[in-house]
Amino acid sequence: MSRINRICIAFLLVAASSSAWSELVIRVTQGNDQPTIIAVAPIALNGIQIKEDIGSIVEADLKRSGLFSTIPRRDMLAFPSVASDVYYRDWRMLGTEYLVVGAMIPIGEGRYQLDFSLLNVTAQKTEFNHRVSGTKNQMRDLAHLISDKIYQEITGIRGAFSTRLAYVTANRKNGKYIYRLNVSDADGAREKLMLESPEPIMSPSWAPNGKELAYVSFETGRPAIFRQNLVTATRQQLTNFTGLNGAPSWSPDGTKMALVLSKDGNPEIYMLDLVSKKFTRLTRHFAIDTEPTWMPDGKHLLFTSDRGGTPQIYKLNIASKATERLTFRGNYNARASLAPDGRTLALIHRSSDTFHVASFDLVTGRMIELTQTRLDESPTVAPNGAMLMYATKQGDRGVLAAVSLDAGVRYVLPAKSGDVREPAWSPFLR
Amino acid sequence: MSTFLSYASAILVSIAVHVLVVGGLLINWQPESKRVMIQPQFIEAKLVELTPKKKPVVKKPAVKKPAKPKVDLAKKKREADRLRAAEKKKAAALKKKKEQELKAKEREEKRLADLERQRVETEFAETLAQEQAQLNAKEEDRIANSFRQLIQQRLSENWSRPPSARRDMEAVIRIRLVPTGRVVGVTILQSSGDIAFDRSVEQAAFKAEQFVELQKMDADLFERRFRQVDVAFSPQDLRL
Repeated sequence: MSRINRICIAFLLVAASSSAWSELVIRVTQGNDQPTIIAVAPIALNGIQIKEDIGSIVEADLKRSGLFSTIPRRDMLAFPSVASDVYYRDWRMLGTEYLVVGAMIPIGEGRYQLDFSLLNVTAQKTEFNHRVSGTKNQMRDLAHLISDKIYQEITGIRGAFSTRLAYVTANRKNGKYIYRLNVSDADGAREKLMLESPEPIMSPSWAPNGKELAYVSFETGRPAIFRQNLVTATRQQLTNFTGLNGAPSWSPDGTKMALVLSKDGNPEIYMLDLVSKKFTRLTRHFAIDTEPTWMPDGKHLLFTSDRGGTPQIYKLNIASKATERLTFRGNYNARASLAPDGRTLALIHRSSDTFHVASFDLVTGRMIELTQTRLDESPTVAPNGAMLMYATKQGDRGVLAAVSLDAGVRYVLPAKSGDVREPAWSPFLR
Repeated sequence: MSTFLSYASAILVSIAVHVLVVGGLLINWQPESKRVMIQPQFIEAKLVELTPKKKPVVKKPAVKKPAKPKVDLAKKKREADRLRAAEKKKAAALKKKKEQELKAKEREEKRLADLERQRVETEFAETLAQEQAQLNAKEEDRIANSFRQLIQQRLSENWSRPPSARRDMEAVIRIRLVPTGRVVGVTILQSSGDIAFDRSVEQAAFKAEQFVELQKMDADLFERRFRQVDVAFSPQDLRL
């Protein structure tokens, strides 16, 4: 008994002291989330001739994320390139919270070194000094690396500016379409052609190491799945079955591929072992099963099926083949793309006869409509889970647009020639 | 005839009554009004004299009354024979002694009563002071709380959370202030574990820059409670 009493007393004392502590402390439980104001001073080039304006690329990257607003150069009173040249008072007057300064010097063999600093104007201190280096051809890479570093420091989320996009364009020429598979930087710059074909190209999918793409091409007269190395451009045909061969999705460890085959009569999910080249059938249902995508654990797949009467997202346990329906709201939920947190799903959702890109929280079951236009399709989530890219129409042309997963910011990628469709956001590349 | 007679008498009576009333009015009107005029003067004079004299009047009889019996006793001494006079003298002495004793007792009682009253009074004053102190402390708490609320609101306005912020995170900082209300230092007492979150909290304090209202504060209160202010940040309005 006495021991219990003592414990009770001790507990009460602790409770009393903790309540006394909480009385002394002012508690702030709400915030006023605003884009962080940042100024990016032009990078001092010390006579080095380069085409790109690195400072502007960094500024554009940060601005596009929606989490930053920037100070235009014409408002700046000075262009310092090192922290010691910075008069904080001047920058504070501009209302900026952070300032980026940097300078580049040649280090021989065609390489250049860029030293940059993130300065906290509000607290008047240097947050970090960092150094990147590269050749003249890598100036955009250097800029994106700087953006990544700053973004991560301030937002706490890894930056995805150094990632890439794969997408398909269709151009009409002399009454005939020409299809192209392209890869570009995440900001749409440095587009690179991977494949050109008079027949449709569909469903590009990144290998987890970011060095290969899988896609569906109709070049053989019927759909077939190919894999292609981005550097060497060598390609290999993976499937050649009758009927549908589609929707390839690389497993997180890169050794397997989930895909859809209709050789048995109706579309079913299969798994292809890329080493042994063996196929394993995963679904067995008279309804359509399609669009497989891997969960980060590599043990589950998400896929779309109309086995319940309308297209909905299901989860499949690869080992037990057990399925579980995940979406119940709306009469159309498809094209699931999972954010790297394994919890937030981007999908196409229909409500009141309009298709939206929506995010769906697998834990809370909460659905948030992110876009409003009628023709949004093919959502793909950035590897940091902050943004998603989707295909939409601008006028009568297909373009790529991006929206942050909390729907706070939206932007359209610079227009390319022809229709742009089927974007796929790469994984982190380093 | 009889009706005429009765009428005549009625007329006579009515004339007599009228003469009486008119005469009475003529004779009595002025003197009555004069009396009324004089009376208030007397009353006023008496009232003014009475109020200040009340207290000394009460004290005087208390002193004089014991003196009157003395005069009576002295007369009786002379009138009665010597024995009786002696006896009476003895009795008188005894009575006087008793009276004196009684007076002493009364005085002692009065002294004690005074002491008691004094004690009660000081006690009362003390409780009053205590109550006042409590009231003051309460008032100080009220003032301090209003300033704390102001600081909280200002920090809330300036707190922009990074996307990495989650509802279960909490960071505690200590803000150092000078009497102008300016923020001169921020230290993290308890980190949230997320660098960006911690920085957003520091930034909120630096962005608040100056709580000008603190200049109005009592210097002593500032020294005791606002030289250093501890603030806990936990984003309870976030979705995740």
